[in-house]
Amino acid sequence: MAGAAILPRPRKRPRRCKHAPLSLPLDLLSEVAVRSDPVTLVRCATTCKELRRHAQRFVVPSLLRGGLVDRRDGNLMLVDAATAEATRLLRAGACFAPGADGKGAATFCRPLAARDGLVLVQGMVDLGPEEKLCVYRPPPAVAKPCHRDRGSLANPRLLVGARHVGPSRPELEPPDHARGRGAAAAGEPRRRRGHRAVAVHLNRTYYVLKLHVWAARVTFTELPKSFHRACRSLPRHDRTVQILMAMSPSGRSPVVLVANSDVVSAWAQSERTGKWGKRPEFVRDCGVMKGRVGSLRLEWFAERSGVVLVAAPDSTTFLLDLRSKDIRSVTRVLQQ
Amino acid sequence: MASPAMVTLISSDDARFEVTEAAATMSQTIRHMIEDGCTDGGIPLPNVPARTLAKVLEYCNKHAAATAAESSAAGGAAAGSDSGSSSSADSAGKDDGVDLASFDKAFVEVDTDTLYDLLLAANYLDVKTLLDLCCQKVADMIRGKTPEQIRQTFGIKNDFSPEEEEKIRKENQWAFE
Repeated sequence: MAGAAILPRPRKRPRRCKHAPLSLPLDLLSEVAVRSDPVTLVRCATTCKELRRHAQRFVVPSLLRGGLVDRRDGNLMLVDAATAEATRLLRAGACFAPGADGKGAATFCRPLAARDGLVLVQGMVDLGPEEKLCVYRPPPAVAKPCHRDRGSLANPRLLVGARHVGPSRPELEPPDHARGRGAAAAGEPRRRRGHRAVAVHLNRTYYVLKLHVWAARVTFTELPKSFHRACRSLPRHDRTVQILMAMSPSGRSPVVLVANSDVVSAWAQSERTGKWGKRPEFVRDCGVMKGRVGSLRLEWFAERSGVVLVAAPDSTTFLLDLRSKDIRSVTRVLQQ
Repeated sequence: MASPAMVTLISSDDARFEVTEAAATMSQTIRHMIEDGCTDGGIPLPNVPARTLAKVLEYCNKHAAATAAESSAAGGAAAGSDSGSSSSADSAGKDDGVDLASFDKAFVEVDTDTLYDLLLAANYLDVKTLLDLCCQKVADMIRGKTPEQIRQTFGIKNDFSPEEEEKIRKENQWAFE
């Protein structure tokens, strides 16, 4: 029936500039904006106030991915877009709180994890045994995500730091300016959950580091022995692609996944007791390695859908659904 | 068994469309209505004109048929509702992903007004994949445009003062170079 108005040409024409009788509602425009590239997203966010408010929900994580600059010489550079009049690069080492001797700058910084606009950076001090961790929040490049506490944005850089020396438990090192409640609020995008978790490996022990953003506090929980056993044979330099932090389907407690050869195992933290399960919650065998060298890699955790992207060396890709605990080959999923 | 159940949809201008339930329930909005049992005498969709609804249903029919063909091919039998789709009759049945992708691509090759109408309808009807498709298409259209051009494209009124705008530009200098 009335399908006659379908024109075969999609060319963007600057029509309907003036009155635009059929302009899109702003929430749809923000849906559109997040599907464009970061530059266009930022430009969209400068068109009007409402769209700017909408866009800020998405903009920090999106910018984040383009916002880390690795110089390959051990100097991780971070984009600092808020301080000066123009964008500048900041050495990641400068994020760390100075040590007791006054020279705190860490070297060989590398990003361990990034989520919701926060980056966890690990650095070494003078190539010694000491490893430092710090959580970096890139200053909001487009909009200030927190309107509750404007004062806190004065120095939002470092929320909390951690230091680890020797075989003891990691020791926390909140820098002076992160102690106040302001620094805590500064990093928090509008979310219900108040913490971010990441698995870190320090001196042969695996911990889950949980950053409680509101309280500017970090807790370390040692992972169970069975987890260490599963990780024992992981190649030393490639752990980051074989260990992945995820969230339970309820979204309240962290789950840590390990891929070793053909097997993906998951450990969960109890929501009630806060203890990590002694045994893996579930183990899945993908059956693609067939005795070859190498291992599955855990590529990505999609927070909203609770799906983990798993890749095999022969470029088979799997989706592991944390809700149903099903693992399926992507080729099959794509055909559906 | 599992003969293709049909539902009637009524557009804002009172045109009636008969479609399979499989196609109709690609819309979450319609799915909820069906689940709530509000289907007697047709489902009114007061926000969608016939022209747009026809287009949306073309998309849903195609995708529902592709899904059915896929599941019946995979499951062997008994998936049902394979041929007799609706008026647009996708009796070809067999669609692989490539075919569907090219269908999607051609589907949004429309003028801006139609695209906006589709986007609004997909949003109202909550057809996730169609919404994604349309949003992506619009996003591709504005890629690389300046804020002023984006305002013109969408009819956005600039409510920043010149000073505010200048400040924002400076904060995000990298996006304007």
